Amino acid sequence: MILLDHVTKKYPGDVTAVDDLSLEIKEGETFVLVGTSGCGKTTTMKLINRLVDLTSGTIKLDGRDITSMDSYSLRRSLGYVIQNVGLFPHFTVERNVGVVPELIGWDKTKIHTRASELLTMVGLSPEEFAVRYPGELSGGQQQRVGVARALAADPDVILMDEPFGALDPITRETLQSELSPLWNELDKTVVFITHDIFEAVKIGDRIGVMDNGKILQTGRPADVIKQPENETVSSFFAQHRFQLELLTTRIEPLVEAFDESRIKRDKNTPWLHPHDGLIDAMDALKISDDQKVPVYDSKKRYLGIISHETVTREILNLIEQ
Amino acid sequence: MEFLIQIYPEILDRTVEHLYLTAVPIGAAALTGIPVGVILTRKIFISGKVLGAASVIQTIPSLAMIGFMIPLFGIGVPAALVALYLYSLLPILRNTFTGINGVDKAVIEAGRGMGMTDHQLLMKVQLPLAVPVIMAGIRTATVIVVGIATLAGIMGAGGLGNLIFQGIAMVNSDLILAGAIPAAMLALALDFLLGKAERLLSPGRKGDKE
Ligand SMILES: Nc1ncnc2c1ncn2[C@@H]1O[C@H](COP(=O)(O)OP(=O)(O)OP(=O)(O)O)[C@@H](O)[C@H]1O
Ligand SMILES: [Mg+2]
Repeated sequence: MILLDHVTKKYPGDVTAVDDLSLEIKEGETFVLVGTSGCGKTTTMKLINRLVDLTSGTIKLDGRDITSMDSYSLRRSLGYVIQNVGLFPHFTVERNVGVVPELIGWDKTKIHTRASELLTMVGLSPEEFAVRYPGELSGGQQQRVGVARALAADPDVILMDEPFGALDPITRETLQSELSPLWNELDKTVVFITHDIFEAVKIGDRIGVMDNGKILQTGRPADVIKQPENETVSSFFAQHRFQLELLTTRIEPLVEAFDESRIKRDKNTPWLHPHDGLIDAMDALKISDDQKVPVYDSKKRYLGIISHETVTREILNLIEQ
Repeated sequence: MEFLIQIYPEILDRTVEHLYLTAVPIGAAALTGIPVGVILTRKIFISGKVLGAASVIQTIPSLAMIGFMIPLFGIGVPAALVALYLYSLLPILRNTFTGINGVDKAVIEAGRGMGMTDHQLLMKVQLPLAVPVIMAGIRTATVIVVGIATLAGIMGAGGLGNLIFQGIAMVNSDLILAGAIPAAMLALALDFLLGKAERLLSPGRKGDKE
């Protein structure tokens, strides 16, 4: 758990980058800080790993004040994906991934095994990529290595500063949907920075909307979008409200009972998870030839169906609001 | 041709001397200039003064420099070595300083963020990434020193300059060429070898690999 208590950071020249900010990030959750450029997201993150010193306030990691820890061991214990990737250009991909393990003294074979395992996890074949240099990778591949590097020493907490920031929308979406389940399954506590509200909503268990060094509102994406607490938060979503609601309205309450044996199934039949959004239901219905889509939970248990009719009704509701 | 066969052993001897007159000052300048350059990147407030002083040394005409050294060290090899050392210092010092300061800030930040200490950052990241620039400094210094080392001939320190000065005294252009051509070839050869070394020391640069 990460606790920020009345945290303020003033840079020389009277710039208050973070202004009396309090925040609790729970164990195992993905918390997304979202806000416009210059609002203080990166500074907040660097306060947590002490790349930047606090002006006032306290930050606690699992109950321990971070200023009481050795700053080098603190940083080695936190995974970090920096804005602009920052891979070491003179290290091979494998050595890049192994940086923190090397710093904390793992032996060579263990680092090698771990690097291969991680590269596979982030979708890069070790045979092909381990010996390459960062300059020989595409932007998306570099970002994958950046994520693998942050996971290397198996930290409980990972800080990610716009890890997919510099990518084209398609690559970005691929990486979001491939990599975020990875750290969720590993039960990592993730602090994720983005200025892309769609990315925030897609990845975050909870999001915090930041402006001018302050957190304006925190909560589950759907709640923050449905019930903005003030004008600024609301205006942050204004242009995309309808799309965001389609994305964040979960289908869970819309599932209807239906006899499982009457569902035609083959490998191409689309299916849904209760946490999927309306927009996923629309996509699934479009490719279904059945006017209904079965819903299964994470353990592949059958829960019921989502019908064309319900989805249409729900969308009309959203439009009328 | 006959002349060449006759003079060949002397050319060889003088070239070895010349190599010595080059390698020792360059080695000493690298051993001192690189650490001092590194320290300057941490002490920005004195860096301007130190680099300025080194530039001033660089501007002293080489004949004058030799003139200054003789009263201090007498005629012979030591005076030549000190003078050549002073000339090679600036390129190495300055390139170390700019090379290390020029390392991509994002990479430095990544190193710090992963938990590297200042020393680890220097040894694992900054110095290796500054290698091309530092080596460029060493190459520049080497070419300068091979040239200036010919002047060591007039202060009794040997080297290919001896042939050149003999040639000038005897108005024998063959003799001048017998000193000048090997000197030029030596400069080219050393520059080539250092370029190779640079490549070996700096993996991962874009476009290096075929
Ligand atoms: N080292 C620094 N010295 C002085 N001011 C700084 C420094 N770093 C950041 N700032 C200022 O602090 C404010 C917050 O910067 P920060 O980098 O935290 O923003 P950000 O939300 O991460 O922005 P972006 O989305 O563009 O990355 C900005 O006004 C910035 O100019
Ligand atoms: Mg930032």
